[in-house]
Amino acid sequence: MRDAGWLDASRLERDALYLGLLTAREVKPLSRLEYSISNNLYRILVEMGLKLARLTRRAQNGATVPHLVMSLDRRRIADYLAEFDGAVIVGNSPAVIRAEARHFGYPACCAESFSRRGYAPNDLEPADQRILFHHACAGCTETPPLLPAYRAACEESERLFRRQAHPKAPGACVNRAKGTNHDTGRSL
Amino acid sequence: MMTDLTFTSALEEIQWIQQTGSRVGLCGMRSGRIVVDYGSVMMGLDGCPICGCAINMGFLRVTHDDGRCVDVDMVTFHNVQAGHPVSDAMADKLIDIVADR
Repeated sequence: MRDAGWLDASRLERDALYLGLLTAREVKPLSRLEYSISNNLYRILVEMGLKLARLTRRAQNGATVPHLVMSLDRRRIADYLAEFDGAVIVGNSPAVIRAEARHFGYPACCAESFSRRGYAPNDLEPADQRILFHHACAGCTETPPLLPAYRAACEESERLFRRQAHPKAPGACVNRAKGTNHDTGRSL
Repeated sequence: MMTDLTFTSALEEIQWIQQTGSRVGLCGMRSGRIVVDYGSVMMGLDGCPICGCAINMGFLRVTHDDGRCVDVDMVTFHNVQAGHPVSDAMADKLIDIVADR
């Protein structure tokens, strides 16, 4: 099959920035990246105040799979590593769904619904569901209050991504008097 | 409906429509009488338990103008691409819809 283009490098960098912001703003207590990131992005996440740790998971075919977790709180990272570092990936069992919801800050009601009914219809606008990392349950009362913080982080991550990708693009902050591009620190 | 379409080729058709169809609404892509809506593809990724690859969460909704509709979990695309076993519970319905586009 052709690659649908869902997982291109650009998309992954955006997602990592978005997750970093959500975590740095404590909307999510801890986040996991299932892919490698550039040194530059790693530095940006550290500059957000995040602590990062690498761990290894094992796939059923024997492959070792590197993951990265980030949080403001080292204890949360230690808890996650204690539960998952070196563990075999078992897929979406109810126990794993509950554990990940607890680590990643997803409402318990949504985790229960997902473990029983998968992507069951919910009451969210598709545009709101799209920016979440969990599938909200029907009639959820815990997810809607989270949405403003998710929307704000999503918009900010887009701005950050554009600035990283095109540091001299229109909109980059330029101090003409001093001849310095504030986004890059380079002299003009 | 009699058709030579296989489950894999029906999934390929869906991917092709999602990439090249004409836009409908916020997240829909149309080809013929089919709309592929990717509004339920989520931001999150998960690890494939079989090979460890990062895979998308969420699903594509395939809707025919006559009202028939089927959801295709994003994991299914990965499983077919990677040669993993595929749950084909909705295969017949998807093939019928795609064959009638």
